[in-house]
Amino acid sequence: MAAVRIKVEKEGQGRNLGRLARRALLAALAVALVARYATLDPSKKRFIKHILKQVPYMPARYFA
Amino acid sequence: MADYDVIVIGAGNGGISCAALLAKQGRKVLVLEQSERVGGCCSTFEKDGYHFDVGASIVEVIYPIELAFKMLGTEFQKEVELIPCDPIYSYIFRDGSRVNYPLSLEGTAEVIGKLNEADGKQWYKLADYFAEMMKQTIEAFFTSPANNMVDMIKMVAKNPGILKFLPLFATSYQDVIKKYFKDEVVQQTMSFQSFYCGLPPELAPGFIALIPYSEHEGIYYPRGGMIQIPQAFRRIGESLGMELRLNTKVEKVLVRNRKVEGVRLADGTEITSDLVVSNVNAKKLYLEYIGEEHLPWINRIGMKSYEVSMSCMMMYVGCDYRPPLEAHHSLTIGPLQMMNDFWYNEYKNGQIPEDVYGLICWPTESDPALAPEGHHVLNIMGMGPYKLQGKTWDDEKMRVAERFINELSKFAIPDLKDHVTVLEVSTPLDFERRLLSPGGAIYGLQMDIPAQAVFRPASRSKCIKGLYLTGASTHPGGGVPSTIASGLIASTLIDKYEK
Repeated sequence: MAAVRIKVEKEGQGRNLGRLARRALLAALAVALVARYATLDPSKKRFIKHILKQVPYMPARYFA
Repeated sequence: MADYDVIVIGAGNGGISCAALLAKQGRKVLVLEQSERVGGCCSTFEKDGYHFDVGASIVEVIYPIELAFKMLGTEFQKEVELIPCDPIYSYIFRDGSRVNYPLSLEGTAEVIGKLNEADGKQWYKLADYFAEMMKQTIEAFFTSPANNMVDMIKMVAKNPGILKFLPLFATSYQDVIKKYFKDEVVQQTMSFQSFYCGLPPELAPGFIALIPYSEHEGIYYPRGGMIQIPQAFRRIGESLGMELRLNTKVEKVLVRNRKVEGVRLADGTEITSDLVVSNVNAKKLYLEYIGEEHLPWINRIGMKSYEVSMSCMMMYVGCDYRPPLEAHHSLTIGPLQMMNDFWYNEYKNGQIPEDVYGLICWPTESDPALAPEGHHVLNIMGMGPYKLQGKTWDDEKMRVAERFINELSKFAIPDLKDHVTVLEVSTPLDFERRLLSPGGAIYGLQMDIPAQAVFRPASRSKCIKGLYLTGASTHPGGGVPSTIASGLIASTLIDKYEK
């Protein structure tokens, strides 16, 4: 019973670590994207903004 | 039993080509066109002996048109005489100097090389890249539907070479041009074409940069005017039993339980059919002709989110002299950044640009019979926002047109203002009134990435059974070959799904 409890606790810790790692990776990716965006010239930024403005509508447009 | 198998709303290129193809399938087809002639933007009208093209001024990338006529049992060039145009463009700068790009790649490389030696060599690299893109994509793009991800996967599976060109979807037209060419004058000559998709160079998607190359595979003018193309489809369709009613406006598409039942005309007459093909702007179709009450919430959101493509004004000029131009198409252009600045500072703010630039089409260079002996026709396209700030187009149109002509007389077409015999003007409001195009849009909906392919209104409606779309606001998009391709795709889908 104690052995099962330890095993379940270790698996729980493993899942938590996995979740943390994924969140850290996503955060790092977001930071990298923002940093990259900041270095772009104004023209490229306007192109990206023009596209991003429409992205929320793309799922609805898929059904149009 | 329904009055007809299919009702086609609108006899623009998409609608009339689809109608002819459906008649070839043996269906009973009725085409309802609200104006007095077929063709929509691709038509020609006559005044005082001059023949003016309404909007479209040449045809290129003729593959889908050839295919449509082949499916009708004939050949494009048997039905319509095509006059090749060479040079493809004459670019006119503010100081009156000109640069002409001939049809041949080598000739264009030589001209570019005189402007900038390195860019002359780069021209071949751009040409090779886009020649390969055309080879890989043209058949798939113009014949395959793009209704859903399954269609896209099939398109790619049939032509995996398409994948090589995916980066063009994540970059702007401007970036593609700047990648190849460093000289600013060369960049200027390649920048106007972004407006053919209705956006400035900075916002247009990279794959539109195909156009400066694709024109070198041949641009043509139909003898007798652009209307000869839709007229040919009309002729063939009517020989196959298609019925066409001109001056007949549709007011509503009748829908019950999300299935089409027919249409109601402006005079109240109802005509029933099992299928409806709409060549009308998709926003107008769904939100007005069908009505929001028939649309699922997600379709309503999607449809309302689309932006219509840019509008323009057209000046139709008859003149009694030979204008000092050097090509069927001339462009008065400015720096690439000026094109972008115009968009943000003037077009989006409802201002008419002070700088006069646009496309000058000289069809009598190719077909002198379009005007009386010794006279000529000019169809001049100038940029113009739909809504003017503090003014109306009805009040401004003639003043703007005369200013345009005066300015062009100074540097592009000397003496023009002294030789004008006929001047007709179409503003964005006039386009909206005559062609029922919302916002006077000349290319349907904007053709940027979030409104392309599966994100463009589907050829086969996803929410209304028996409804199909053709024209500039569905896949593949605006322009003569694309709208005819849409007719071809819709007819193929109907053949597949509607036995």
